[in-house]
Amino acid sequence: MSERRTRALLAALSVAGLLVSAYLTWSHLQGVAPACVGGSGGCEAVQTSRYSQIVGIPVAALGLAGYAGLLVSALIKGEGGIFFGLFVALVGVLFSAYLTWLELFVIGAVCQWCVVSAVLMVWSLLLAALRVKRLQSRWT
Amino acid sequence: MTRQKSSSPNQRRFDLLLVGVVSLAAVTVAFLAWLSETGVGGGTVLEGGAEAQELLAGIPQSGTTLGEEDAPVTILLYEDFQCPACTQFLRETFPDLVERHVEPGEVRVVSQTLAFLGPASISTGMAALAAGQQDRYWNYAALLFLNQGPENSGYATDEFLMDLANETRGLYVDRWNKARTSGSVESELEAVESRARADEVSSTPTLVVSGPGGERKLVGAVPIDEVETAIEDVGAS
Repeated sequence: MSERRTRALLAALSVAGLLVSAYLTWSHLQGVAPACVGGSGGCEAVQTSRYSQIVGIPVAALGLAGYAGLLVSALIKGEGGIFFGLFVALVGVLFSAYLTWLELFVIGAVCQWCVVSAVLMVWSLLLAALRVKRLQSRWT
Repeated sequence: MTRQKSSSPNQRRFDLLLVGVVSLAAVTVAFLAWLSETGVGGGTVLEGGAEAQELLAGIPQSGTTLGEEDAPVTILLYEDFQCPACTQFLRETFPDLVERHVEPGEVRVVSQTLAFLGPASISTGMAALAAGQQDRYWNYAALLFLNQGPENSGYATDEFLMDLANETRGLYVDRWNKARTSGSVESELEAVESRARADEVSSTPTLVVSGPGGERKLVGAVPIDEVETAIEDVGAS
């Protein structure tokens, strides 16, 4: 896959992530349950848990910032964009893993939107890693 | 040849950048996770959260009502969140009442929140009624009772009430926080006071059990046997 195509795909994933995070941030701030397939029970339990915000900031809003960062990284050519993208995607995947652990073993409920976000982050990390790999071969 | 390649300045710079980015990402996530664990609430150690939520799971709630709306028997439960006998009732009688009679749809329990033991009764009562606006009254009330402090000792701080809200499954805390000081919640408390006078309730807990067969009043932290007898008495038409 070409660098241009990789960046375009990363930008597309970021936009999808931005939409998911924006919806979850909106529902958190409005105090309504996100729409989920088969009922909102899991999403509502996660969205209203004590872990749904960090020092008063909705976790979904952190996701918004993360995906915005990924989008910026996709728009920047060269090593700055590549390493920044890797950093954001790594933080996104590791933090998603932590949140998934909370959902499964602490909150006891799973939110489908969070799963979608986690999957988007994993794919973003794969693309970010591909850009890094390509840079490495150029440098050495 | 390989050794020369791996130690080239470009490769060294690349390795350094990669290690730096990965380390920074790990530190960032560790910091976020630490904030997530410690940065919420005031650190009140709560009791009974999981048990209370489990007991109430799947049972319909509407405002301060627990159980099916068309249940043949209704129990008005007059209680004050600072009353130790109410906590005793919740611990010793309530779980059996819920499992044996509310869950099967035979009884619905309507909490009547009284606030006569002091200022903390008012703040806790309003907090629970605000949770009721999201149909989470019973989850919040159970937490209040299970974490009850000595009467008017100042335990029911805003931070304490907020910690309970954070622990209440399905409760939108921001919405609850706005509602708990609202006029509508205050009017609800006043309405219960009038009802208590009409039912001649002078202490808590008091249960007014009514059904097609009449009405029975039980006073104090009565055992489940007494409640069941009253349910049988009023349930028969």
